[in-house]
Amino acid sequence: MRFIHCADLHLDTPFSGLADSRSAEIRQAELRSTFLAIIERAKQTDALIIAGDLFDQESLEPETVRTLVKGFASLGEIPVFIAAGNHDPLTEASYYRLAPLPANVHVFGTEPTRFSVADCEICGISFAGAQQEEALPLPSAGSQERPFICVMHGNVGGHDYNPISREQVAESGISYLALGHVHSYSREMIQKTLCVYPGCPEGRGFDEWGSKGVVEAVVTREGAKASFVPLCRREHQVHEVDVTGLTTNEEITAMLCDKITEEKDLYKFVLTGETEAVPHCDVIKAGLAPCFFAKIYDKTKRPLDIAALLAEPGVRGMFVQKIMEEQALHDEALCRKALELGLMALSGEKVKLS
Amino acid sequence: MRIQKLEIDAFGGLVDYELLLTDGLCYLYGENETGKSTICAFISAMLYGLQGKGASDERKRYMPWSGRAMGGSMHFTADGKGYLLKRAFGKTAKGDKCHLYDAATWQELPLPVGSIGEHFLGVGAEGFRKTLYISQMGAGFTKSNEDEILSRLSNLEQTGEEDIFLQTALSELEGAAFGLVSKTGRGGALTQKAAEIDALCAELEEAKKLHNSFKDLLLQIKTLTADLERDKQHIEELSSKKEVAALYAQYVQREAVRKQKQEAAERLEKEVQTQLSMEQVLAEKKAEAEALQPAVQSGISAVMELAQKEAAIQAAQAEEKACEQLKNEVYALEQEVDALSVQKNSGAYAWLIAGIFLLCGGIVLSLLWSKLFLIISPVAFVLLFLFGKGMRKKSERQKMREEAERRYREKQVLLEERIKSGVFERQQTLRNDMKALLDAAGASSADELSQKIKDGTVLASEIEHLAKEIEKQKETVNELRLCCEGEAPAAEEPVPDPGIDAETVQKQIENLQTKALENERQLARLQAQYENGFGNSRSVATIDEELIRARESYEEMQFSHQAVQLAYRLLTSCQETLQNEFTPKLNEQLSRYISLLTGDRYTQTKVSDTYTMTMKEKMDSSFVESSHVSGGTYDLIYFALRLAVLQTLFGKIPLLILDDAFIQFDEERREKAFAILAEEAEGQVLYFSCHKPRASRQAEQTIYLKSYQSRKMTEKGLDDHENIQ
Repeated sequence: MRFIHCADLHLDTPFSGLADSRSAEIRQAELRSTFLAIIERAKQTDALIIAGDLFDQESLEPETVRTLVKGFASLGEIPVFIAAGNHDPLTEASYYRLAPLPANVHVFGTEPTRFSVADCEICGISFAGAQQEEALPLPSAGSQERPFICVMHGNVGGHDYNPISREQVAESGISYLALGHVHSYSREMIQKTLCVYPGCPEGRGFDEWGSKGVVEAVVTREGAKASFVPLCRREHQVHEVDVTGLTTNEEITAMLCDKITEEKDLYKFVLTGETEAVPHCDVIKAGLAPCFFAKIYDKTKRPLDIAALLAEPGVRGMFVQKIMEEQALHDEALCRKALELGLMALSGEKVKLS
Repeated sequence: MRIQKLEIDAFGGLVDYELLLTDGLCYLYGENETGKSTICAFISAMLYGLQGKGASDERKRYMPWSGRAMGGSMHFTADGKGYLLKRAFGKTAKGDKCHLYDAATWQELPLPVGSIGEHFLGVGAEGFRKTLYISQMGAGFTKSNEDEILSRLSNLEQTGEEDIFLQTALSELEGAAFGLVSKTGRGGALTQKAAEIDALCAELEEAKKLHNSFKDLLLQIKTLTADLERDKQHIEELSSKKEVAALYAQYVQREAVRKQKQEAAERLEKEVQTQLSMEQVLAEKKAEAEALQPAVQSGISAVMELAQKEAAIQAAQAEEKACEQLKNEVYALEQEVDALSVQKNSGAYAWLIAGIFLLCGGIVLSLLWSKLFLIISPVAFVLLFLFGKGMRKKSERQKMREEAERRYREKQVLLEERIKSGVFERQQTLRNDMKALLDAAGASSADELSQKIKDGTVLASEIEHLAKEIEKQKETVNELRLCCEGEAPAAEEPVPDPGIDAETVQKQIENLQTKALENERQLARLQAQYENGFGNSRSVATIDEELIRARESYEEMQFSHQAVQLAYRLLTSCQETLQNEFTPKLNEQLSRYISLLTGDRYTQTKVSDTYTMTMKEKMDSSFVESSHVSGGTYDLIYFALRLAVLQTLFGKIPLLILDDAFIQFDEERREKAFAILAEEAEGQVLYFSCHKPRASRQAEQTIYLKSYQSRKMTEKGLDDHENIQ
């Protein structure tokens, strides 16, 4: 059987790291269209498996419900198997019960539920609530001959959110363990079981950088094969850029522009190193090459010759001395910043907080 | 540190220029434009390299006009060791070269970590310019410069640099902190951000609540839809029930009709019978009425007439009686008259005579015999009286008689009249009339007649009544006949009673339909509500996103706030330390210098919190504020303060360069100043001036600087310098 395996779409949940609500709205819409892209891909296969966290129970909007229902309905006869996760658990008032899902959608219950699809047997179990510290029962293939696919939202080797032990997996006889919860793609072969996390299909923050997508898998009697299908409309890229020695905003802008490779992507730049003047983030941002979104964090330091400063007579030296003493008690970044600000004030400049 | 010799290859306008310096105080005299400032700059460049950017770029300023490579060397000693410093300056900092050699061995020494000056003098480039290098204050000095000077002085005291206002720095930091969290704690960007975050959290809560209510909506929609289904089914059931009930009702109706017809037929017979009997009775009564006809005809009027005649008879009878009575009365009266006339009344005269007799007798007797006989007189009077009375009675009776007579006559007349009117005959006539009437009416007496009439009337009304009844009866019969028309429905199998009638079922159906309609409307409303989504309020995800942004921003601001507060705190403690440590020392030094310089005129000087300096005059112990002194004294105070600060900051003064700093001092004070310099400066003091030195110079060496257009210095050229001891 050939199928699409995806998870952790997190529809209608916040996108972090964006500067304004317009971009966030766009991203939300894009997530919905990514969902539809997954549906399109699933039309070429025998089934669509969603391993949890499809949406967030607390924030799903009516429009998204419609999109989901329409999307699933457009698959026609092709079944959709959904195991509810910790963000969309199968409670009494879950949207899985309330929304008018079409007949080809099968949501696994809170007890292991089995179905037959094509030449395989598929079993899954949903979260009953937002917490699941105990491991859910891992269904085993038993003695049957057909390839056995298991769908669960959980944490292999983890401690909460349905911890799944590797030993149990090894003994289960499952051909393909369709997992969800970890937001990046990974695969692991435990004995005869292929465990796959497809990751989320669209990154929602700068901690989810890189290419995102779904997994297209084929399970036969001989075994299981899975391949990653990048589907995301935009990627997040994080770059640390050392601007030591550069003196103008333009130079910094040029250096950053080199790093912008894709117009569609989102970029986070962290400026490090030592510069004379404070980089003016707004000016730099204005001069960047076109991209969907860019964010600049200024972590540069002013070059301070601490030794020289300490040797100075008068208040400057004294101030630096006291800062040095304080460093034992406070963290370095804070002391450094206090030092910069103090010196700025002492040299008569206006104290500017970025 | 002591500079021994300067060799300038090319610097500013100086080319191949050599200068020997001695220990202690060096007085360097040169006219204007002999390169004093250039030499100072060269020394600074040697120690610290070329400084300045833009307008104050020393590199540009001192780049040799001739195009020669800028640079030179300096021979100096420090801590007993001798050094040779060679420096060359290119067009840019990259082209600068610096070499330090041991003077004894000409071995190149590794360069110190910081600048040369820092290493040997213990102060950086900026610090050097501001402390060890004293220029004059007085140039262009006017009263309006006062505040500036005073502030520079106080800055110097506090910070060692004139341009830094510690207080300003503190306020600047404070201002930045207040920008984030205001003094009251209620304003400021950070506080606002916190409030923003709170508001967003509240909005998020609301949005989540709204969201949950939406789930409730969905649940309601689901239940309602199920209810509607159920109700539809129910309605169908009831409809079929209604059909059954209708059929039953029809059956019941048919049965009723059948029964009705049956009953009608039975009644018809009865009624017809009744009618016939009634008609018979009517006929009998009519016959009766016929009999009574004559009586009735004569009618009431006859009866009335009879009654009248009767009454008349009665009246006649009464009249007769009255006549009789009258007769009797007349007779009685007659009697009375007679009676009255008979009686005579002679008795009265008797009395009269007796009376008169007695009276006369009395009187005579009394006259003749005794008065006792007068008693007889009263008796006589009595008798007279009686006579009177009798007379009266008689007249009365007379009257009465006359009266009675009159009456008798009256009555008699009346009686005669009556008789004339035929009283007695009238009766008979009347009776005859009556009889005639009665015969006509066929009755024997008035009572009988009236009775007959009554009967006749009653009978008539009975007949009328009966006729009406018969009419009614006829109608009834007709009705029944009509009823009986048409075929009666045939008898049939009884249909089971469903127990409920169609109407009730219909009502139930209607109720259900209304309810279903209501539910449908409610469902439509709920669905519309659901479709509309959140309306104007923002979605949970949007609010959450804003909250994330706000929190990030808040953390950054909080970090800045903490840094500012830390800087402020430490700087304040610096200020306190300064004030605690330096001010007393400073005051001490300052007092000492000013006292020395002014020849003990001002013995004590104190710097106040507001940085005004107050000096105490020795003469009269009055206090003089620095703002009230002359320009020259000002310069003096400035110099004293510089020295005092230097002493306090450095402890010992390693090197001092003065650019005509005493220009405004008078002779005496200048001498004193030089004296102090000679004593206090542990290292070298270079005093550049454009004024000729005095003969009584305490300087160890006076060096004449020739104009820099002068020739290259050679061993020979050195002899051109005059050394005045």
